[in-house]
Amino acid sequence: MALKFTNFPYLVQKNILKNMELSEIFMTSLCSKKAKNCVILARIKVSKVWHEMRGNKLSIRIEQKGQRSRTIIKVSEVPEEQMRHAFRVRIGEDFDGLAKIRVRVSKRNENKQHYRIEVYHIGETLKNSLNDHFKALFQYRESCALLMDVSKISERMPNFGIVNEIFLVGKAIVELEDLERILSQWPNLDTLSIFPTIKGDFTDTSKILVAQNVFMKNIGAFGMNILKNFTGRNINLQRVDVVEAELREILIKWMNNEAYSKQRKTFILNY
Amino acid sequence: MTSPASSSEVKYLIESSEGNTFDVSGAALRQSNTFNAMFLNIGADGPIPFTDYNEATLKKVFEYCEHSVNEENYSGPKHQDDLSKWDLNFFNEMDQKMFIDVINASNFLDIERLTSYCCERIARMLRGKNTQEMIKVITLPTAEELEAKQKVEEKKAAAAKKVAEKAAETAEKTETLEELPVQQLVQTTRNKLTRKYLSFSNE
Repeated sequence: MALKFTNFPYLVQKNILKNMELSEIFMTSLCSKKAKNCVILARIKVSKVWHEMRGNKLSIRIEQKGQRSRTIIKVSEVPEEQMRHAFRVRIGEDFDGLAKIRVRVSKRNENKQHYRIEVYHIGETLKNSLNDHFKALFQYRESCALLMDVSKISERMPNFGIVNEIFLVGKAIVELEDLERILSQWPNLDTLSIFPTIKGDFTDTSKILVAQNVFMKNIGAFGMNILKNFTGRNINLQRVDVVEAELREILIKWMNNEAYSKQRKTFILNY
Repeated sequence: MTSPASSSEVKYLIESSEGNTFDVSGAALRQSNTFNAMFLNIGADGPIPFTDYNEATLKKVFEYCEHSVNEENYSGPKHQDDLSKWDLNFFNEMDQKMFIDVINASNFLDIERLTSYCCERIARMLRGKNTQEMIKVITLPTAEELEAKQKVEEKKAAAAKKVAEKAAETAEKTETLEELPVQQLVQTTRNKLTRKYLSFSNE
């Protein structure tokens, strides 16, 4: 006698899915089209989604209210030799390829687990399909966060929908032109954190100034320009080449309420 | 319905798919929201028909209800690790067919606690499995199987279409023959005969 999931009544299917981890729900949806529809019909909601793109890895994390974000799916590239026992996986509408799926259980907490999908190459199709599939499953229309390596900045991004937090990490230097191009895709930016050094010509119309909360670690000569033109709430600049006269001018304007009316917190480090 | 004086001792007669009847206490039956909605206020004259489920399944479901009568009010799913020895035995005794029947019956009877435990049990069967292993456990048709099934269905549909078209063609031909005036009909038949004759003569 087979335990046919899709033969159970809708309420039972929904109840089973609600007893599963989000990563398991995602895996169930990859089993077949029918299973995917069951997941969609169960209307499982997730709070905040984090898309992470670093090196040759891609991951989706979920941040439930008041909790730390948890990885659900991690996609990574592996050499062809390691794909020996791979099987055919369909993700979304377009991706249909070989993959190996493994479960990774957290060493600290056995209940925490995520799935690792290993593929030979993470192409644009896979990125888009994974994103679309995830959005369709959980009917996600809220704003999400994006954590990406600076090396990925010139690549084409999947349609993440509304992105309100961007974290740019990595050791390479960012070209301001590339940064502006990528920031122009998301006009409702709330938080922007940039760790690498930026290179290029800063203008007053820079998209960096759109963000309400800005954190920059290796800002150098740009620092004073950004500080002068910043209209958001909180700013944290580190390794700034501080020009004392300009800083004094900014502070006087702020104290006299002549500018920076929305600004709540300013933090500057020159080392 | 048998109706002794005290409400806690009220017994109801349940009818299974085989037509057999058996007693269930009112307290146990009240755990079913379906029963509460249907019979609690108006009562039942004869046995309550739950004829979609067999006697063994219903007895198993109500055995659970009888056992959990004195447990505190249900507050969300209980973790399987917290299940008592009796609960564990209850689940382990069942074979898969019975388990599926119990889930379906408890879902129909809307017994929240039992349905939830059963669903959590299935969810645990899938814990830590990849798609291929999941497919084996919950026997979902794989993409390839679905594709093959679709192809077979398409072939069947095409064959049925061909048959329908042929039938329509024959019907059309007969219709045209019937519609022809008598003289023309004679002529057509004659032509056919001549053609036959000619073909004979050629041979």
